[in-house]
Amino acid sequence: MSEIAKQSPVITHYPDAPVPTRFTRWNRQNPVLQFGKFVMACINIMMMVIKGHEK
Amino acid sequence: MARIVILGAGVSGHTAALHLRRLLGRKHDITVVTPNSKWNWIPSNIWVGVGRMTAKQVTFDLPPIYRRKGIRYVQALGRTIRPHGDGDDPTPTVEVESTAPDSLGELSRLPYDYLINATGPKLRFEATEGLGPEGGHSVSVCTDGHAVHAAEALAESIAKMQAGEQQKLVVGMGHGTCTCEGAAFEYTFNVEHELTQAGVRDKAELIYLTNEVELGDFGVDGMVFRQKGYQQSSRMWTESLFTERGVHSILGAHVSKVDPGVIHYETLDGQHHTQDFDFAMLLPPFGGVGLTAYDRDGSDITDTMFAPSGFMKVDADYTPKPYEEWRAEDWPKTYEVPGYPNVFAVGIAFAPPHQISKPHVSANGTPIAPAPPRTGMPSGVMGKAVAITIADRVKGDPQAPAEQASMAKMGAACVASSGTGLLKGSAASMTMFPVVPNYEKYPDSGGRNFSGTRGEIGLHGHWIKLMLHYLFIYKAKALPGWQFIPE
Ligand SMILES: Cc1cc2nc3c(=O)[nH]c(=O)nc-3n(C[C@H](O)[C@H](O)[C@H](O)COP(=O)(O)OP(=O)(O)OC[C@H]3O[C@@H](n4cnc5c(N)ncnc54)[C@H](O)[C@@H]3O)c2cc1C
Repeated sequence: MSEIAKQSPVITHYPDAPVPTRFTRWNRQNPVLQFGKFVMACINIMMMVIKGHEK
Repeated sequence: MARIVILGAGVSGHTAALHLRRLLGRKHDITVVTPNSKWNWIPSNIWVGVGRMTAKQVTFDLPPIYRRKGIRYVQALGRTIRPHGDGDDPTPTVEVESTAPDSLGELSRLPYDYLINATGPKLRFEATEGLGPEGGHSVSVCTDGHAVHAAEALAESIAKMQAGEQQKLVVGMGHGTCTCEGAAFEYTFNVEHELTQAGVRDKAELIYLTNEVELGDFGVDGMVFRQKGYQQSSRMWTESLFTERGVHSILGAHVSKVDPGVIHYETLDGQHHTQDFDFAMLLPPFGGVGLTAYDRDGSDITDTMFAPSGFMKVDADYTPKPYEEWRAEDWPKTYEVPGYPNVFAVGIAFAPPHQISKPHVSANGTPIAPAPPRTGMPSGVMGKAVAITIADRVKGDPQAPAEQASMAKMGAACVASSGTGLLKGSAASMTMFPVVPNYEKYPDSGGRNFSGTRGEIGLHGHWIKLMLHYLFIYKAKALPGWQFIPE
């Protein structure tokens, strides 16, 4: 457990965690870029389903 | 003519029923026993719980679907299994107790050739004093009814903030052995999104209280991804999101009691704490639904067929062993109950051999560790696999080998909503392969295959979650082409 957790059970932030830049946040909500990611994610899920189980 | 009885019409039982009907045609008798006449797409309860969907949008009536498909529907609770019959009659039966308004409480026996236990979880609110919406002091989103109540409580809290009051909102796990951390995570961020939309984010302290030892564990021992040439973990990813959205967290916690406005909990270091709240959504631990079993001579064989948790024992390796000796191979493959090859347990109803996350106990000996999740996708896959096994045996060789669907060999997609809205929504979409990590096969990548284990946050995740909502409800209604929609 982190140092912060030892001092107080309520952790208010994680100092080592990377926080997204404004550009990343904009990317995450940009409908055009996100549409591309949507298509890729659907293909990824479908591939997993088609490949089925590991033999 | 074969008689197949399915207990439970949730994700796994309903999937099994539809596939059995498709594979066997109408010559054989398929009966579904379930206490509730409505089917509920549980993952969307999260949106009901923040007032963004109605209960009607996440449920539909089952009897018309079963009438159309020629499946017999019995509104009842499965109670007792007699796998070798009773007295002079060796026919296996299951005793059911009616929950239909016109025959409430009446007992009857259904004979079967094959039985599928797909009864899901008992929501064990009673495990923590004061937990839950029925007689307790916290809300839940486990059923559509609970979620409607949660949305009302959240709206009240938001109204108070709009009137200038500060509020403390706690979302998480109501016991140290809970599962479904993903659902609590989703609800946390949907609440956060609603607070922002309502313009009251600065009036709220939002705390995620969990039994996970670190964020991003989700009861599956976390995930390792490869992104932009680097290894990243679900822990880093989740800590980043919590920091970005200003959500506080309490880790490794076992809630022991909920008083009005106060949560009592213990942390791994053995210390006891309290957390005051104005609104608390805490999930209950899960257990088996309390089925019993008797042999033909009347002797109680419940302990033979069920684990102490109430979940049904299947073809898993239940030998108690230390964490270091846990193997992916311990997990069941066919879901047949040992000694009873015509009885199966799928979805949440089967007893997992052990946790997936590393188990922990507090300094006082209290177990604090997520129970293994059995999410929608694996539950559906198991339901279909068992339907294929039974259909093969009914149509051909009664000894035909069983279809396999081990969680240690299948992948799963998990889309954790972090706010709704066609343009403002977002979700963390994750895929993992396999669900149960295999540290021998994938020693350097957290027990999973990098090419099947990915994670991404963004608007597209919300679209996927919304698409799955409509697709799975379409499939569950058995509308044309339903069988082409994967589990
Ligand atoms: C709030 C919440 C959010 C979730 N979100 C997601 C998500 O986003 N993605 C995901 O993959 N999974 C999610 N899950 C998990 C998912 O809901 C489960 O994996 C899935 O429902 C398990 O299917 P099941 O068939 O085993 O059980 P259930 O779907 O719970 O079905 C059990 C059925 O058995 C019936 N039953 C109960 N007792 C008896 C009895 N004695 N006799 C006969 N029938 C009985 C019940 O009424 C029900 O019809 C979520 C769970 C929760 C609680």
